[in-house]
Amino acid sequence: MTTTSIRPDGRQADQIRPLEIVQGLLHRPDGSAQFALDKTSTLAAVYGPMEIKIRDEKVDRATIEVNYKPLTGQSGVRDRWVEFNVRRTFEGVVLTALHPNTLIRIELQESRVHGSEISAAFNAATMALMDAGVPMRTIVGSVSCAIDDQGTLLLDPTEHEIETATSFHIFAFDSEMQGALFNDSIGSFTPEQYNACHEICRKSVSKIFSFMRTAVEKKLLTQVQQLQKE
Amino acid sequence: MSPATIVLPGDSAPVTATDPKQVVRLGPGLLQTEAGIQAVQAGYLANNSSGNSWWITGSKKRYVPATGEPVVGTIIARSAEYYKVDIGSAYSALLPILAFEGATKRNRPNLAVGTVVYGRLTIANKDMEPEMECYNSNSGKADGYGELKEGLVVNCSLQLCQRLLNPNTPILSLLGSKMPLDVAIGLNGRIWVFTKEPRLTIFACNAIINSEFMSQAQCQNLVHELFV
Amino acid sequence: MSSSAPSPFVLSAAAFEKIAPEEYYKRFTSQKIRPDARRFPAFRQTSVQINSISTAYGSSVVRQGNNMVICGIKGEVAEPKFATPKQGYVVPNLELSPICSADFAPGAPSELAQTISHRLDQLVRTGHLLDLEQLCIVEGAAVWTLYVDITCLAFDGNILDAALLALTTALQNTKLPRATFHEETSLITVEPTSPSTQSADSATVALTVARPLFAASFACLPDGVILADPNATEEKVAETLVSIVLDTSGQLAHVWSHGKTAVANSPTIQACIEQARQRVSELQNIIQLAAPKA
Repeated sequence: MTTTSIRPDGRQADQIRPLEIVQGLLHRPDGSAQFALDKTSTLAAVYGPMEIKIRDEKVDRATIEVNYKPLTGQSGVRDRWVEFNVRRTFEGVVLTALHPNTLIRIELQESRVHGSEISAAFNAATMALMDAGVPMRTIVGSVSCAIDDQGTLLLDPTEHEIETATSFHIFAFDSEMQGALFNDSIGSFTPEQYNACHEICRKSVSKIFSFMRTAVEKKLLTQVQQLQKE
Repeated sequence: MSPATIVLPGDSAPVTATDPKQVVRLGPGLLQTEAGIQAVQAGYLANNSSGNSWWITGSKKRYVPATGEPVVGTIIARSAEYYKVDIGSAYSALLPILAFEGATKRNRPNLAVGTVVYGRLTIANKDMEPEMECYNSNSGKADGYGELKEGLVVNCSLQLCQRLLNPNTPILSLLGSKMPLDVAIGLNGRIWVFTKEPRLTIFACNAIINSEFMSQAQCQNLVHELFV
Repeated sequence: MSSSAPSPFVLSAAAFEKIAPEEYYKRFTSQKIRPDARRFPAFRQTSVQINSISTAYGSSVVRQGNNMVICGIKGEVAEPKFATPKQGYVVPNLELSPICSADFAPGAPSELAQTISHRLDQLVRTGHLLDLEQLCIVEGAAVWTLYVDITCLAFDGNILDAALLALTTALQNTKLPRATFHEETSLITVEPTSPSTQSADSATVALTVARPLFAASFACLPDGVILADPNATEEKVAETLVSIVLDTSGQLAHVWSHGKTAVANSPTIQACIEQARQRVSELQNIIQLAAPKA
């Protein structure tokens, strides 16, 4: 990787876009969060544990339901694919056995689309679940990357960079960052390129995690201040 | 332990016992795993004065029932034996019709659907519907529990409710210094407030809700401005 | 159990599987075998049958163990997008109806069916399975839309492998009717031929699949056990599912891993890619056997 290559938005190839996290911005849900990668932004809301229809009930654990809504147009097969993957990942992360016979619903809404939305969705879901106080064995962080026709790895690609890429990779990690909890790579690539993508995403997900930590600390600080005065 | 130790799910929690002979108790948000004691919720690590009970205080709006906690609920259905009470948790609580002060088979309270009650959870188990009672079953006395007539119920975060039960939290005593008011705090994120005038009730409710992220000085200011 | 009088405390194998599926599987995997007598890296017996639907432009039937999917391709003339005046459309759709398994309810397509449909669509477009420009009839005016309908008749796990094999083989054997553009009326006429009549008559255009893609899926169990081609029960007990899609040159087209534990890029994924390579050559042989004799 050459560090001299500058992308159209002025970033280095291995640089993620500026992050923004807002927690608890919605009044009605039990937990909510907005996660933004510069011009890409996803809103997440979490309800539960709440009552569940008998048909979907599981006696030994909570059921997780995920709904993904695109920015414009009707939801289609792509959105079911996102829901499937987010649900599969969080089923292994949320401690569902602590709340049997209940439903935990994760609602995801694209609010700005400029590439790497799926990663934003994973990160927003983690923040909203944390805001709702749903017990989890780890936090989940996701980063995407693309390989362009020159073979350059582009971290956290924009919409245009994905369209012109030869392959596109989405990774989600737990806080141990040993291997990917979720991975979806598509295009044309070699096993070596795949490994390189995995490594670069694994390294940069720690930035996402530390930003998540800062966001939680900032939110909690207001409470701490009052308690110290009491 | 400084209260500012903030943990995220998956972090190992630095839980230590001050007295190694005592059993360490883990409360909400902490879990013992093979790797040690782990946080499963975001929040700051807290412990009691003796240093052997540990838990996590974070943000939460959805109530998960726990035995012994006082709750404010609304009756949503009734049968021959039980009232069904909505307490904001995944499943509504059962309130036996005889679980009131002085209630007998002949003389029992006749509460309509929609009545607000203040009670204590007697059974809270993840696999069962919670059960509650509106009296102290040891003494047979009401102990302040029972039907809540008139007044206003407002929802708030679970942390605010917990904090309001702490006598050091300023807002209730500040309001009390300006006017008489009755308050019932349920740990399920519901507060019932009653004053002589509906206007003052709404004032008080808003002041309590808005005080969540205020310092003592800000609370004083708020109450002062309300009664100018 | 040797005792003739069954004791009420003896647990039947079926009940054991139902009560503790993970433990049940562990008893088998510790003996390096699977309940259906397969070894870990063994795929189920796979067969392909080409062009058995005479009314479709191309079709295939794929059997993989107890899985059975049927794929039919029909075309329709459509207007191309302004940005891509030469490119036609391929619309893959997988149907998992209650006919194929009790796991699927009637009504709207299940989440899994839609997920796999999206996957196939991505493999065609982003994975460049087919050069969409060969679906052009008149640039900027008329292109083919191919509806690739894949119906599952019997479901037993690992539907991606079967569905992709059906899609690839059906497209490889698709013959489009010759379409003519009349300039004076700007109308398109499609010659009414029966496209699946196997004679290489001049009235049809055979489709070429630029990059045939083949999938191989794996179920990862605790203790590093990797089961190739998991069936429906194995998918349920698996910690993580991994799917690898390769082309015939060994280049990757798709890696998909999802589940409870983090395995991607651990030696597990590398082992899966290695096994997938072998599977691709195996599948190529199967396709060759099924190919119509010239």
